[in-house]
Amino acid sequence: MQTVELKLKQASAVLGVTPKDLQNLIQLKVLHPPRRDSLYLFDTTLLLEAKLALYLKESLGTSTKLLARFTEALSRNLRTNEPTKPRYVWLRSRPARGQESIEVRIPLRNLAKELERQLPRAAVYRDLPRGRKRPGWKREFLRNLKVAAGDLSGLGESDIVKAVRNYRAEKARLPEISVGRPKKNA
Amino acid sequence: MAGRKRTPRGVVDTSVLIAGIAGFKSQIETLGNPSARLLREWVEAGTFVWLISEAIIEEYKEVMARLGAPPKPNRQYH
Repeated sequence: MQTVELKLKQASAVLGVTPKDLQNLIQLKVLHPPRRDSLYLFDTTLLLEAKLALYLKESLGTSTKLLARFTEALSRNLRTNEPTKPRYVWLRSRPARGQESIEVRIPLRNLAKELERQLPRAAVYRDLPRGRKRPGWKREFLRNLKVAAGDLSGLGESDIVKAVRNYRAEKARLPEISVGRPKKNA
Repeated sequence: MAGRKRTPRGVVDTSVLIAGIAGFKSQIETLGNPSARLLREWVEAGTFVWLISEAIIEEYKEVMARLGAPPKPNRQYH
């Protein structure tokens, strides 16, 4: 798999989850990405760890505490093993001493392949400084304003006020809820 | 000791924004339109901190679309 270093928003796009969901995994100590300049960074292995954690969460509904332990065990394995991924990895967990363990088979190679296919999604979030820090933002902003002005030509003040009022009135309208018995068939 | 002057903060009402954009066709039109002048001064001199939220952005986009200027993929307003 190619080497990457992605920020949280890019990583979440690759993994197909919201940035908040990915941030939750960090806050709940399931994932431990390194930080630089107050940004979390995801390399390829960490992305795969996140993919595995999300896979386990989705398929088993595992509690966060257990998910953190599973991910820790899997990440130890991922970081020590060779880069060629085995087709499956097995996760064995025994709820208590003396009890029989359960075994979960995780399709590691498939998940890694899926992740690799999704890597181009990171490009959707261009790594540009925002707003006034972005070089040429003023020129770009003014150009966009002029294009939008062309689209809005011929509008009067009353048209604008009416459109805003209508939008707000629609937003304020609450959905109608009624309770009743189903109609009897004649 | 004189305190540092803080840049004022404020929300731009959707009607002001759209009236301002509509008046942005040329430099001359901008001068005659107070809303467009507000926008130009913000762009040129950062005269105020423009506060936004998801709901405000949604209203900007939706009303713009209703008036015939839908958001375009490569257009960034902020």
